[in-house]
Amino acid sequence: MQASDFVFALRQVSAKNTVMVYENFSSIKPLQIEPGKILNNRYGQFHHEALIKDISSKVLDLKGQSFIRCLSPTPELWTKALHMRTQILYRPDISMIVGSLNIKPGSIVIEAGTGSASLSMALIRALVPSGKLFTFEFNETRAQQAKDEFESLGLSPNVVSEHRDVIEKGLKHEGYTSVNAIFLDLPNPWELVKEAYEVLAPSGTLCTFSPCIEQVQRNCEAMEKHGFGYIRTIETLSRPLTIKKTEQKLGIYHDAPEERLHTGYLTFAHK
Amino acid sequence: MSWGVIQELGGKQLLVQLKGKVKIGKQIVNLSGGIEYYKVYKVQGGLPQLATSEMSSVEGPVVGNNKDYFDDNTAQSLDQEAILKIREQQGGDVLIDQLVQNSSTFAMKTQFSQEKYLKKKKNKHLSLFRVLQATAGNIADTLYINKPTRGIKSDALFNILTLANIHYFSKVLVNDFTGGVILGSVLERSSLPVTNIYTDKFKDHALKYFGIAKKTTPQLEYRQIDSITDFYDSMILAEKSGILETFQKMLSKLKGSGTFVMYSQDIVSAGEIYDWIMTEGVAANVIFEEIWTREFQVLPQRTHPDMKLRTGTSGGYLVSGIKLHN
Repeated sequence: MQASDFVFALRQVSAKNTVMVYENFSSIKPLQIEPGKILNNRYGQFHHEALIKDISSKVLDLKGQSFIRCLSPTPELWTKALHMRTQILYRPDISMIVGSLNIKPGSIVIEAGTGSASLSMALIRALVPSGKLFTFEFNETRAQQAKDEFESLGLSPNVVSEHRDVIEKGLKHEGYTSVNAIFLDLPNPWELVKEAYEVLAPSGTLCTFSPCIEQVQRNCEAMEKHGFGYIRTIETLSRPLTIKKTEQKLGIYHDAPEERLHTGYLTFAHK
Repeated sequence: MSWGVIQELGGKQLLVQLKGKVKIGKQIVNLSGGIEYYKVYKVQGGLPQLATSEMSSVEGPVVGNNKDYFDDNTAQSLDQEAILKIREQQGGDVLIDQLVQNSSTFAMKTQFSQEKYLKKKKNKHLSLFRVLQATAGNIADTLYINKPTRGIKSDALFNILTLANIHYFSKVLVNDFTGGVILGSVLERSSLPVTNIYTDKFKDHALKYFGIAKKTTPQLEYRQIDSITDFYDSMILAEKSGILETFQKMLSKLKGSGTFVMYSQDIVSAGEIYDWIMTEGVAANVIFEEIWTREFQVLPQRTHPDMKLRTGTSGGYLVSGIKLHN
């Protein structure tokens, strides 16, 4: 794999590549480039070729009246733009998960469930080119949607995306003998803790994400019981800030209406 | 020789080389025989020994309270001299039994309070510890705990790696005031050149914890700000305070649609950068935020956030965005 093959690398955009059409902070949409085609949106009409000529520059519409910009895809922009099939994970939790699981190029990772594939993209970014993500989703439609998305972004070499109920079928898979990291975002992750321990390589890490404290207690109990060490439960948030300027000074404020005060509890356990 | 993080239970957290003798609490332990990550050990006869599981076995309705309990430091009848003697001659486990027997208040404590008392005594007298891997996050937190003004917490570091879009194909420009925590983390992840522009009394002592030596890492180069000729995919500027000028100078070296993150421990500096970026309109998807994290104690009937956190809850202030060509 080269940089030119990787959707999240800052590369020369060509036909069949995906770009992110940036209308404003809250309006970002993915677009697959097709030469000869025209993008039609509320800002006007734009030739696909014009959109990718100079990435991030203003591109005028055919009438020369308004403009949009195209940006190179990142998992963060993707999370913003994606079609939400389930409650998704946001960037502060995603950062903590990818970082604390120590995902690096070459890592082999299990994720269950795939959901809307928001975290999946960040996991894949961290493990390419030699690593692999095995992601399982128990809803058949969502599993197929995720698989199609990975395919359209050229990520198939680094992800195995399957329809599977891991509570029923378990975590063992012909694609690996052991893995470096396991992430579980399910209603009842404690039921998989024993098998997670078996599937993890030595010094591997398990992470559970649970919205409710009762779930956390059951997760931790199972982790202790089945031999995990250094078990930590944390919550992490981004507190948005904003500014207000007068001639005399710059005021800095918490952006209270925009604050998300709880997402879930992350528990990390080590083998 | 590889580095690890020694975490004394209820005590210090330090980066040490995992060979030979190491000081844990008041005792010396010899690690040459090897040690497993993440397991809890006690020090016995100068050697590490696996400690029994720390799982809480206490359950049921709470029995006892502090109605008649008064702490005037006279509950324990063994004096300091006796304690040290028993520990030396008979070992930590025997000492703990003796402390319980010689305490006039132990029996009236609730079962949870008793467990907490025992845990504290075990941590101290058995010198309980564990060894953590020297991962980017553990290196960051350990250095931050010991010197917060020159460090960066793992939560901020992880958000930086995400927001700067660091991956195997990222060419990265870095200003790293932490002595190499950010540099090391980026080098672990990227295969492309990483340029460091931090020049103010630069120290790169943290690189060794990652197993990185500058001399044998051609990927890593140090440059003066004015001599940068290349263009980068990602830019990370981390300074305790006051990075606006550097940002203004370096922005032209970031490619269009390149990702940048500024880290500051000082909210005013961060606000000024955010103000400049928004006024000049140089970036998209601009976020100004504080990263906030807290830990929990999870025990049966005793689950609550930690009351004390050596690292505090604030990870620092970040301003991030995507560069626009104008």
